[in-house]
Amino acid sequence: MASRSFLRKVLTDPKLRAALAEDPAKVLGSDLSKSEILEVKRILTQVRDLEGQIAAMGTTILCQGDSSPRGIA
Amino acid sequence: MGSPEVQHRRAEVLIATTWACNLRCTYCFVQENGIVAESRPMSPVLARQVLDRLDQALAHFEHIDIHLYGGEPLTNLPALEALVDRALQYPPGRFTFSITTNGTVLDQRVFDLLEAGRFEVILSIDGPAPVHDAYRRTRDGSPTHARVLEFLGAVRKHTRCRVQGSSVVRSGWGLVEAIPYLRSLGVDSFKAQAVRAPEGADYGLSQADMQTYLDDLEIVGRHVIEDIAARRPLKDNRFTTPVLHQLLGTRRESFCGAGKYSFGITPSGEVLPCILVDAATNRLGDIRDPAHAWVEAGRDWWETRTTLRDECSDCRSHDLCGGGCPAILAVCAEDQCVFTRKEVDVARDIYAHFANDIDPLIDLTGISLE
Repeated sequence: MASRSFLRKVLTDPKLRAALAEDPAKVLGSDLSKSEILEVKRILTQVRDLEGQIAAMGTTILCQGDSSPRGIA
Repeated sequence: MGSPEVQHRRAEVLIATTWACNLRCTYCFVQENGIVAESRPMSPVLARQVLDRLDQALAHFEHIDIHLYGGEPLTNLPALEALVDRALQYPPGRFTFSITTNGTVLDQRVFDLLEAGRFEVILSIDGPAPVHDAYRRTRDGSPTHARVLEFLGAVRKHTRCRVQGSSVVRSGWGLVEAIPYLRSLGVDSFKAQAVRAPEGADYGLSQADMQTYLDDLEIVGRHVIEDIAARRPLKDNRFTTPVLHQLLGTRRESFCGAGKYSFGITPSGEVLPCILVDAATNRLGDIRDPAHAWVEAGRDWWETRTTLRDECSDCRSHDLCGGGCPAILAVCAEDQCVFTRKEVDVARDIYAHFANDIDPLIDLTGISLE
């Protein structure tokens, strides 16, 4: 499996995420297994969804409540 | 690997099925706008049509959250029942429901509706009876606090709905008083924020009140740090969005997704970027128009919001604020910016606290690294 520290970097580094999205082989090399690539892909997809959620939401009392999974509002 | 472009799975549509309300709360901006008298409630026929039109127009979103607003939405039960009934004919998860309510309509039909739609209930309750009843009264001046507590009990008894308590902080009722009160109600989450007040309103915050509010935000921030460190679910999420932006290394393009990811629909079927903005100057179209017309108009409206306002050019918080709420800025202007800047500052403190060990913050994302 991809290391936790690498996944943490994927989560927190937008430049790395962009590079992975554009040319994953260039970033990951050819040593990663299929399951490791899937693991990275899963994080990228989840981060993209999360970015969408937080970009869409305002933060005032007039805006929505906690309908997102982790209560982002 | 996926596209580098951010894809949004969830759209939010705030629907006012009526502007009418059974209360006359002193600080209500809907009453101030004078839109109540000129509006008829949404019919059940139009409500069903709205659902179908949204499904077509927002086909590029996986989920659509319908947030019922008003006016008091529960005063137009036929339209709400039509919305939920129609939504249940779509695949599970296509539509979800939230409702902002004053919690004074006690009718078994209400609780059946909330359960059927598995609503998230945002319940307006300012504080204990003397605080709540000072401003939240019926048309004939009767207090409502006891009724709201009864409503909360009934939601708990008859439904599985999540409840968020919502309190308006104002002169004489501070943030650090409102939060413990909301916590004492046993709600799933809560919000307490400063009242939107035009200049000179007696309920508005004085300069001293504002300073207290800003100081209180720091106290709330320290409690949030304690909760995050202890890996407790946050009940107060006011800082979560700016904290997550810092964690992900992103900045806000606009204050919210109004026009692109969220829309407002009036009782007559007008489509707006948000139900809270002025309809006369922000109208995108009508729900019965060809869908692409108002979707495209909304995107254009959103683009204008990503352009930096002159007032924002030197603001230290713009990267995590995105330019301010267009609905609130029209009323509160600089006062709102003062609050937002402070919230961003506290969010930066929260992030800095965990800078050397971000794992507790990763919990906030809901993403597992295992």
